[in-house]
Amino acid sequence: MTMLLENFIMSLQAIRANKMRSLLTMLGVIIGISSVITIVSIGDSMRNFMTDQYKDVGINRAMVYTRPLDGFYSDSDYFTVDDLDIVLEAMNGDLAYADLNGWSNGTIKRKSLDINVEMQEVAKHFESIANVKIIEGRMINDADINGRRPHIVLPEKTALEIFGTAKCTGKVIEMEVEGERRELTVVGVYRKEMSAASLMLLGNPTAYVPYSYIRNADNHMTFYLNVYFADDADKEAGYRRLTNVIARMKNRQPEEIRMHTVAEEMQQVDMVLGSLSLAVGAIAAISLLVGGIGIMNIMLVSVTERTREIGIRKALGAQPWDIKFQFLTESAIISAAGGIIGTTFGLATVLILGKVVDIAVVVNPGTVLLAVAFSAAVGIGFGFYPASKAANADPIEALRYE
Amino acid sequence: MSKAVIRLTDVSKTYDTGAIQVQALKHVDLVINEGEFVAIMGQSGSGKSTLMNILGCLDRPTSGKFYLGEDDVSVMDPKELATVRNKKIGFVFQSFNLIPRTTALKNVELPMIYARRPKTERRRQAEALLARVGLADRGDHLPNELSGGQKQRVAIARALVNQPQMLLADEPTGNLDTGSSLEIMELFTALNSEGVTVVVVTHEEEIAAYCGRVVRFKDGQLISDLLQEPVRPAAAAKGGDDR
Repeated sequence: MTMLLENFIMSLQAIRANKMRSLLTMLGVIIGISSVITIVSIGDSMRNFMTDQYKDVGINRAMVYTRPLDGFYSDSDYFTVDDLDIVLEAMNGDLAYADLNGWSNGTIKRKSLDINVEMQEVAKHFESIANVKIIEGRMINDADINGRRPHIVLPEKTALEIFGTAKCTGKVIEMEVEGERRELTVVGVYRKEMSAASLMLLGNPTAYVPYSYIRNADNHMTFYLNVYFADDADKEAGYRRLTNVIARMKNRQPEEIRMHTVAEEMQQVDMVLGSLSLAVGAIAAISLLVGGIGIMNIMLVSVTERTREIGIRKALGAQPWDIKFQFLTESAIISAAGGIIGTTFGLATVLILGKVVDIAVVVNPGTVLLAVAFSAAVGIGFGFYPASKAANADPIEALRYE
Repeated sequence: MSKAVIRLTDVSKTYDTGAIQVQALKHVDLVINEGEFVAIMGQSGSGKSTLMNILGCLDRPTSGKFYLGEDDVSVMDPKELATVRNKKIGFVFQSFNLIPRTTALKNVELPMIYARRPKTERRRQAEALLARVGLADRGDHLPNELSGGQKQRVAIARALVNQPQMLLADEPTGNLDTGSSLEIMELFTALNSEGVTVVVVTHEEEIAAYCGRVVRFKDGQLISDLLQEPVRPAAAAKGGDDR
């Protein structure tokens, strides 16, 4: 125990005696550790961010379509309003919502600049799956849809743009939709907190309108079916059942039904991002290796420089192990200090970067622990050869060294 | 008859430099008893440095036996030799060999650190020995803040901390001026009179004059071994300033 403390004190003394050199040696480890932590944390944060985006889009969501036969679509391959009810009923509660994936653009004419309103054409039960916070009025409900009412729910930002206030329920908007003049009454306003990065990825939040009002509902057909599974539904079984239901409905084979699920896509993106950050992290780890070699180099210089000191210590009765331990302690201190500084530096970089791009930062404690443990291992590992060289020096030769 | 500290029996040392073999020591027999003050003399190349290395357990004889007290050093491995150097031998070198950037007190403590002695005991012993060599107030000085004579006295204190069986000094006054040399020899004489066995390797007759026995070497062989009446240090030299 005393030996440990004495070694520690002696090592600090030696490091202090060569401040500049020790600092430069540490720099290798500092750069290595901080880049590993920065890169891995950026990767983790990106994955976390992407997962959040997918959750925002709806993790229960899927898009279904039929594959054309011989490259051509027949009329029966398209989905109609009636199909929605059939599918919902056949899925027996496993499907929370289905629509025809309709979008339209409204233009509000203004003297200066026209206002563009992007509208999602929603169907029955949208209320139950809409993942937004209503701040005024209400969401589009089934009565709006069944009654083909000219109602609209606006995002707060658009409401402010048009009326200058979010308190605008009951007001009427006049707009042009696909060449037709429409009048829509605002029944609700919702708020959605979005970071700059989310905005870039997902775009502005959209307004909601009953599809039945915008479309001539009876003969409207689309290519895709946009569905949300119920939260408690068994997804894998649900996918299979939906495929079978649609195949039967469209008189096709289940293999001819295609489905893209958000969950699946999220998994893929997560995997790609995960392996990407692992690969870049591994490259960064090489700089850690270079840092380790730097430590070995400087320790070899130090051992040579202090040959005489080693000789004196041996003459005074230091065991080979004492000498080895002394130099190992020194290299371990250099690399551990570098590791701590590098970790601080890396974490600071990640936090600042997170602030700049406005993304929630994820720092895996395991990564930090691993990086610091690795740096200590580098110090001891690369310090071993120089320390052994010192420990095995011939005391007579060492004492004679000038 | 007093106990033998050193017993060399037919000791030879051969250096194999590849092309030629150099026989540095040839069949040396030597006994040094407890409490003696011995000078080992000889020109350079006489083998006295080789003998010094063997006596100091830094090297082992090629053939022959070397007993330090009861222990047969000629069969020891490097670890055991380190322990012997630590506990039984006190080294004093020509060039002082203090550890740089380390206080006098820490330097004196060092052999006790390697002997795993507890901290408080170390501190007490180191302070006592610094006081014994007249440097009680220099404990926190670094080696480069001390004069040559002071450095050598720190080295002597360091050599004594583990109560060795023998003090082994290699040209201890070689780097010192006359005044300091006198002081160091005086210190050795005083230590010897307290019972410490002192072996001094030197080529200076004035230094050897302080010793009660002079052993001379030439070409690796012991050529003479004489007892003499040692010079007692002049009272005037006592307490002289060595700066």
